[in-house]
Amino acid sequence: MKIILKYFVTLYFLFFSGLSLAAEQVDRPVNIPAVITFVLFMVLTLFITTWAARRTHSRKDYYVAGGEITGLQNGFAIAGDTMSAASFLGLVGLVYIVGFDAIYFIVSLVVSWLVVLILIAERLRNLGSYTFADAISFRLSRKPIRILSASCALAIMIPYLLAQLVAAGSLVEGLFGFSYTQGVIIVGVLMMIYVAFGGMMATTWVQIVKAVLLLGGGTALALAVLYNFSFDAGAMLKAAAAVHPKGSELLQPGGLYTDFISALSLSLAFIGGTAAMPHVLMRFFTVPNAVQARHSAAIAVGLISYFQIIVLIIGFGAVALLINNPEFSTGGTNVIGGSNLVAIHLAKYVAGDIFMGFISAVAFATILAVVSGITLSAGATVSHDLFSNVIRKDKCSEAEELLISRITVVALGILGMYLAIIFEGQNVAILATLPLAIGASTNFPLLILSMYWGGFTTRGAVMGGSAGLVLVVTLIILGPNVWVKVMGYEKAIFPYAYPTLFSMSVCFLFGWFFSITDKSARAIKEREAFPAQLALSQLGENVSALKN
Amino acid sequence: MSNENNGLLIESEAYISYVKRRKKFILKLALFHFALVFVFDALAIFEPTLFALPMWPGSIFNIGLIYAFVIIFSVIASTFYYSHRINQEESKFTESLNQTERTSS
Repeated sequence: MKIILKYFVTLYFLFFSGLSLAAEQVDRPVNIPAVITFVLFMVLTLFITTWAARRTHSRKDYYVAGGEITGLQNGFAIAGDTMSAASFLGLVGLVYIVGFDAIYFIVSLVVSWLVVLILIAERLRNLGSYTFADAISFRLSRKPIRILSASCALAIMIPYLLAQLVAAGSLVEGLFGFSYTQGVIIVGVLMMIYVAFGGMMATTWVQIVKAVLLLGGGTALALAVLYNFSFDAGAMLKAAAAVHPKGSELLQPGGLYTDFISALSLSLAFIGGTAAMPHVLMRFFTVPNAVQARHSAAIAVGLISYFQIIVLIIGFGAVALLINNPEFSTGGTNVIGGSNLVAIHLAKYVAGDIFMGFISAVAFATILAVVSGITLSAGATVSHDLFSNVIRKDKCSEAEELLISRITVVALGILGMYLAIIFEGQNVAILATLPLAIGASTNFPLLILSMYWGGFTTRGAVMGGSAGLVLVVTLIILGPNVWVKVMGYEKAIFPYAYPTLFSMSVCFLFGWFFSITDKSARAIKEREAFPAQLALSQLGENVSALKN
Repeated sequence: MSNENNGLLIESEAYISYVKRRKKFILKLALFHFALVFVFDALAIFEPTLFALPMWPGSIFNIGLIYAFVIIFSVIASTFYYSHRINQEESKFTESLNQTERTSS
């Protein structure tokens, strides 16, 4: 409790000194309904955090909410993690600009959750305790696997966190009347409070509240859009095609990708990347058993699929209603404030300022909830995988491990805010590209091979994971997102924005090759341990004695 | 369940057939959906005119849009089917385990 009090005092001063430092004069109109909705959300979530902090005593409480979350609650929390600002504001904006081709993202995202349900959820829950590295290293050598998994996890989470914080700053700047820096500090400090005090229990409930708000707000917005067309989706699509600069081609492929490798790489990045996000995988340890893990994944599939249909309706509805409206559009598909604000403008068009304020606050809450999950997972990666298992070789106390986790959360929060302020106005598209591509090229193949193939060895995992990580980062740097858009060169050395087709294949190939050629005594032991792992991964509690 | 019993469990016929059935089922389901996405990508790139064909004359809904919805609804339906089927498999397996225990005792 003393530690929590110390954190609270530190964060209190950090919050208000940060805000006063950032209190530059801002001449933007304040959206009162948005501020009221967000303040209500903040009060509710801080209340949840106080409640959760009282229940968080042990390592298990902090990392996985004591394993007490039900399948239904976890399903909502997982759906909330997936329904990030990128998959709401970003995808609606993408449908608005390119039309049909946004469906590549939507279809892949939905399929990725089926993959999680049938291939990952139960086995992961039965094999691991706190992080996905527990499952990969179940029968493989602990030290190299945990170092590799932690490197991949941090390579995914740090850019993802940064992208979300930059998005939060921009959103606040445009909607709440605060400055960019104030927006970043508000999100950063609240995120640290939720995670450091309330751990997974607070993070989960914040995510559930946000998921309910987002699903409710999205449904209301979609219904209001359809109301404008007498609930005739065909009429809405016809109206969209009639006003969009692409005309009837809006509903046909070809707006975004024209080559098969790009399209397939994108699909693989979404399928494999979503199924390998460390903060989402960690949620499967918060339920009491594998049946509840399966139940939660199934609920998440339903909610995410439903939400993607909502996104399509909102996106095409926005085309029909906002294009050529001078209040929101400056001509063609140019939207005032950028394409990420399409859903917000649409809310204003269909139901006025109060509804716009509500949707804005929900979008901001979405970012807040997602960054909390990412930070908690990053803290667990450093304290559990690196500090406890690698550095202290399982000899540190629970209190010590928790302290390291909380310090990591605060350090990561401060680093994230600092970097987000530096990155103001920069193109952060690359930061959103990296996590999915890295996840699909490292964690996803490693999880699948370790859980499904008895021949997989530590050498194969290290070689496959390292090759995947190096290749994906190199190809992204040489690709159009960095080489052309960031470095300013005329032509990219590697022509595809998503290199997943190549990097994921290399990870699988290296993992397979270096495993089958591994004749060491360690490899023989690892292969022999597979049947027991398989039994535990499938039957869970029935063979729990095998874990020992 | 003791370690000794776990060893027996892994070698039991009921367990081996349960593992095989389950593996076959999830691989089929996963491959089917990977194939759906692969075909979607391939048709969108190589046959965009096919995707642009209206579902019926004068309709704004084209084959591409409908195909996308087929994938989404297939995922939802598969989720229900998977949960139902795995529950069935598990209860069948537990039943056969109980029967074996009853016989041996």
